[in-house]
Amino acid sequence: MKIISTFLIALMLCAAPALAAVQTGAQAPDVTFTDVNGTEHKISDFKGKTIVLEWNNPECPFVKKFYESGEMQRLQAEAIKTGAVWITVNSNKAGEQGHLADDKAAKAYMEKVKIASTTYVRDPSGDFGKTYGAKVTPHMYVIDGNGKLAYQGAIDSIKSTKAEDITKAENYLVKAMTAVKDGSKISPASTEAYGCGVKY
Amino acid sequence: MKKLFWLALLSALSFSFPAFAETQKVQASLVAEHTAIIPGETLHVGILQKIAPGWHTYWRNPGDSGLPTEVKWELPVGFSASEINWPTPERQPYGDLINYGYSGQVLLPVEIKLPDNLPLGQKVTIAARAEWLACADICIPETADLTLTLPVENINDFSQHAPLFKETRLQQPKEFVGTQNGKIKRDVIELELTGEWKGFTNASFFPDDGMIIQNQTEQKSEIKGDKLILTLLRDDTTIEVPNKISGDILIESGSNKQSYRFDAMLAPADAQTGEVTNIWLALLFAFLGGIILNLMPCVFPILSMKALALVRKSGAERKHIVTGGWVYTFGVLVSFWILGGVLLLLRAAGAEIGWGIQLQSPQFVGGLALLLFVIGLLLGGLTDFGQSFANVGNELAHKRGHLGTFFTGALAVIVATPCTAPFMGGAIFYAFTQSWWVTLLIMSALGLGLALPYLILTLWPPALRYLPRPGLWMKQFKEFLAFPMFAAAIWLLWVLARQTDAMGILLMLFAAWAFGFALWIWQQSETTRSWRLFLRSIILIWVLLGVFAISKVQPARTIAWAEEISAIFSVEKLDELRAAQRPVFVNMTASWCITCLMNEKIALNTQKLRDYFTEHNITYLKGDWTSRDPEITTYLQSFGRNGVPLYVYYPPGDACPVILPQLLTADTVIEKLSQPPRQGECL
Repeated sequence: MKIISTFLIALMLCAAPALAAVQTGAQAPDVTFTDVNGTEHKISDFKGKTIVLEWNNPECPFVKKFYESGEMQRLQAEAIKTGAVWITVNSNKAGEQGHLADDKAAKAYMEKVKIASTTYVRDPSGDFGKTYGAKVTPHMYVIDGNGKLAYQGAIDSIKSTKAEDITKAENYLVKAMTAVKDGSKISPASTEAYGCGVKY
Repeated sequence: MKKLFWLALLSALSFSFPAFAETQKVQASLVAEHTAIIPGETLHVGILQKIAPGWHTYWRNPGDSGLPTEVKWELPVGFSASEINWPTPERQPYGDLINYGYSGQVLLPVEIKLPDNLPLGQKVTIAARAEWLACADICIPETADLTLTLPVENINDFSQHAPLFKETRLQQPKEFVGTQNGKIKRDVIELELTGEWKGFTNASFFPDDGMIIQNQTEQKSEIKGDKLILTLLRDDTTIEVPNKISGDILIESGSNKQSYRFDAMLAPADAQTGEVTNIWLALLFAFLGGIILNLMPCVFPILSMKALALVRKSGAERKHIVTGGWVYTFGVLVSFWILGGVLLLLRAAGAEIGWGIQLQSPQFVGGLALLLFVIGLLLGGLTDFGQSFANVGNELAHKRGHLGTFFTGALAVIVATPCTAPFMGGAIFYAFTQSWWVTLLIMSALGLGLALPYLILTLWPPALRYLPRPGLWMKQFKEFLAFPMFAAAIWLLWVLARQTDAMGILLMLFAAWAFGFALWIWQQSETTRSWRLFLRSIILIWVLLGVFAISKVQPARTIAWAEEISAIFSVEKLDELRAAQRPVFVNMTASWCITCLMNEKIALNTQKLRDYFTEHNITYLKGDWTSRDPEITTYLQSFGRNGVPLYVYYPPGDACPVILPQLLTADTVIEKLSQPPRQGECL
């Protein structure tokens, strides 16, 4: 029996995907990144603060749903008001939809949608996104003050591109942020993110 | 004139445009299988999506991104529409993501229940708003308001779309006839379907829900007898382990494709050695392991000898035979208790212990080799030993014979110590992590297992009938049994050669010679009475010389390493390599561990693996547990083991170490090593 199960276990191991995954509750990977102002940061630089990571693609209908309705900017402003850090990341590679060619283009987009996040990061190599296993835009992550991944997944409960669903949906991000602040149990702590695939 | 031309062109263009917006990537229409509506029956309709090349729409679980098609119906009073009866989708890779969806053309069938009281001849219009996400590299949400008008009639006919409905039914999952099981073991999910799998080529699974499996990972399917086993990796972003799994399973046999529904609870897979956590399971495994020990090459002759004795004795008093069975069992049990007790005392004294530590002593290995050599000589017929050993059967009738039987039990345990049978490892590790009485209980279960075959032979006389009748063959068989004994002695000698130096081997061989000589003199003393006392004292001298020689066998100070790509294991070395972000492969082995040597022969020492290690810059650290080494014992224990082999791979960076199976092939090692590194909390 041992022999059989050993072989079965051995046989089932499959090809390696490039996309990593971080388990909720585990230490969040300490990625180093440069924002649109040319400033270098590390995730660990923000230790003690709650960090929100948001994967962005200006052209994606799911992202537009939240920016054109002003919901994303409102969430960003509220999070920052409570002392959190909100990092918007764009991991779409050159030649793909949503890719921003340079920091100037990124700033133009930020100005256009009146983004309210702490900083915006261009990640055309996809290193940041793949380390966190970001699959879609918008894919949301919350890291608590101890550097542990507190939440990952969808921004809310209704998977659609329609702005009118925003108010009907349960906002998982707000729920997770509140729980992190209160120190209570985060539920749900992982959800299936929905949106456009990140264009790595 | 010119103006007229433009006008005509414009009207021609606008006329030629279909009723879809130009930007739509998917042209949708509402179609029915039949030409008319029959009151009280079911109407088969469907959303037909014609998808532009390179684009796709999604299944009910879209996979890593995307959205399923949604339909909102506007139906006359009394009509009710079902959910979409989704045809099984395709796996659509996009970069590192996998989506489940459709390309080209798809019909999404829906059943509409019709009321009884529809007036014949009337026309009925059903309307639906369909919303879907069309994606290529980019995604576009699209909407269509669709209508379908059909007459209410008594009879109907197939419409032009009927073949499409028929074709789509073949793509919808069927109920599966046969058993379905789901197993989960750490991050690996196995789906098992029982059936006939002639001509099977491939299977793919489409989960109903997200966050169950890693969509992007390749799915492996294989046939084992009547079982189809499909292996998936669990979505490891969440710590909660799913307890059930459902979805469509698409089975391909050559060009035939058929999908089935799969719905099963996920049971944890069988516990593996080293992970026995339950006392009953530990007792059961110890017992089973004990039974299997009887088949080990050095134990089998002992059992055979006892069985032979019974054959000779078949006419003797039953009572003596039964008593003999119990005495043998008692001998086995006492030996295991002593062994367990000694190990417990060693543990209490702070020693790092594990099964097989006795083999780390060169004196023990030498003594065991000598014992097997002497038994071999006796079995082979060098001496009859006054009939007292080889002809144990006659002894059973005498009281003295019971003492012999007791020691035969003890002998069985001693010669069994180099062997670890399947099941035993986990049970023994469990035994030594618990309080002393649990240890002794598990040792007892092991002993009962070892003694069981002989005990059955003695307690249940009909079993004896299955043994052949006595005859000349018994002498030949007895002599033959000498050879497994000699073989085992040779193997132990080789183990000793790894533990000691040439001087140790010389002493060992001298001891064997002295014992052989002593036995020959014994033979003479049986026949020449006057010289008996003198000869016996000579025997004693030779035996003492042999024992002395064995006791002088010393472990060698250093062990030579022949591997070019390996380094000697030390925790310090491991930490140093890990800190340098280097991938490391640790092999914990011992010369007396046959499994370890097998694995090295067929997997680790192959050119294929060496090339793989060189190519991936993996350092191969080999730890040798042939002789006592507390550092290695502690390391083994940190992985829930107290014996070898143990193979651990450390991917570069902070990823979790990967524990490899105890039976290796070059391919399984490469597969394990190329597995995606696991971050976060390690199991």
